[in-house]
Amino acid sequence: MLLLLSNSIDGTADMIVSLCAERGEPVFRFNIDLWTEYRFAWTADGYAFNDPTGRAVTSDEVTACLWRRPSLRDTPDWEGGSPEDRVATEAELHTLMREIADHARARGVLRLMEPTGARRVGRLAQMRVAREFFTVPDWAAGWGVRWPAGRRMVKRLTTEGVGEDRDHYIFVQSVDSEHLSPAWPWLLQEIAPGTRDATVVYVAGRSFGFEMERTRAELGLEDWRIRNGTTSEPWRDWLLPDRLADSIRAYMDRLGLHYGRLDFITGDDGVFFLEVNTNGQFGWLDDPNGWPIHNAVLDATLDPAFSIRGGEVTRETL
Amino acid sequence: MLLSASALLLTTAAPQAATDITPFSLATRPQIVDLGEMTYDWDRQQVKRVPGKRLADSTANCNTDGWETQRNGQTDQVHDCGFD
Repeated sequence: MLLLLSNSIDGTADMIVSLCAERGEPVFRFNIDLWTEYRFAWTADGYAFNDPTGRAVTSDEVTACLWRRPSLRDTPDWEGGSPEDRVATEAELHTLMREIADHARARGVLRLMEPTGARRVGRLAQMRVAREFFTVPDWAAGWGVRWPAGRRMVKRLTTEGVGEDRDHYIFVQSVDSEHLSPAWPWLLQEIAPGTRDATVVYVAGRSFGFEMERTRAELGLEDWRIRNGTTSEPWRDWLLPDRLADSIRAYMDRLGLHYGRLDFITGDDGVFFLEVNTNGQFGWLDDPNGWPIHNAVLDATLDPAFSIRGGEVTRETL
Repeated sequence: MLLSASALLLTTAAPQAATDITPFSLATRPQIVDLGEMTYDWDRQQVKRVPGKRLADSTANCNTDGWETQRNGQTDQVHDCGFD
């Protein structure tokens, strides 16, 4: 049985459940934000879940496990308890999800998406390795520095929430870098000279390419990632240039990743690599006529060849 | 073109100015999606609208708009929430 660790509003998880039903593939979905609706127990012999319909799964029955955003960060308004108990419980639940993933990994059934991928393959490591395969805009990180004058992108090393309630985020955006306070650490990158944003969903050796229909100039943007609500801008299929799919496959192999969504910018000067998100979203990009990406994700999740073994490493050429 | 790390550290860091950009000044609260009466269909393990039932939460932080799916013979609008 496929154990899907997710949350109740994740559309991709919905689609995977739907495809499992079509295929007759048994699946049990745990939604972390609805945790109070489930019953759960774990002893030395293994764990078991029940959901309100009476559906159940035990750890012995789990033949594949997919980490699909089991985070309360995406659904912060779950009900119940005092604020203090909620904070304490969120930490416990997140840790329990990691324990379940570790249990699956030890048994060779954790598949495709690496729960700690973003931590293992950090922004700087991915850009260092990417230089061997793609053109990468110059970048720098540090503090105690008055940055050279000019407009540059500011990125974050993590995607953690900021602010007292951890409910704010610092999205990639452009700034006059000479005005960045030297007292704080920053990650800066030159603005790539391309005209059109593109993204590739990489699933177990296959690349699904997309580009925005409109250029950055037409959108009045320096980078589409600046925006929230990005899916209001139409995307279209992107036929990858010669050898780019091979380069992506080789790059992902060097990072030890079976899955990722890679962002590029394209133009007359070529293709520029921006970043890879190890658990990046892809739902809005998929073709409703057959859902090829969701099917590829499910295929790979059920395939032992794409197990997360726990020994994945990022290999750099020194 | 950014300088090398060593060259950057050789530059004199001017003292902090009141107009300098600090991290939180670049932060925004993401789009809040009101899930309203959106409910969870335990039988299908999917989100579905069912009168009289509500999700445990009523809002979600999302950085993408909803996308439309057609499954189980119905059209649904779902969200793809997260920050990457």
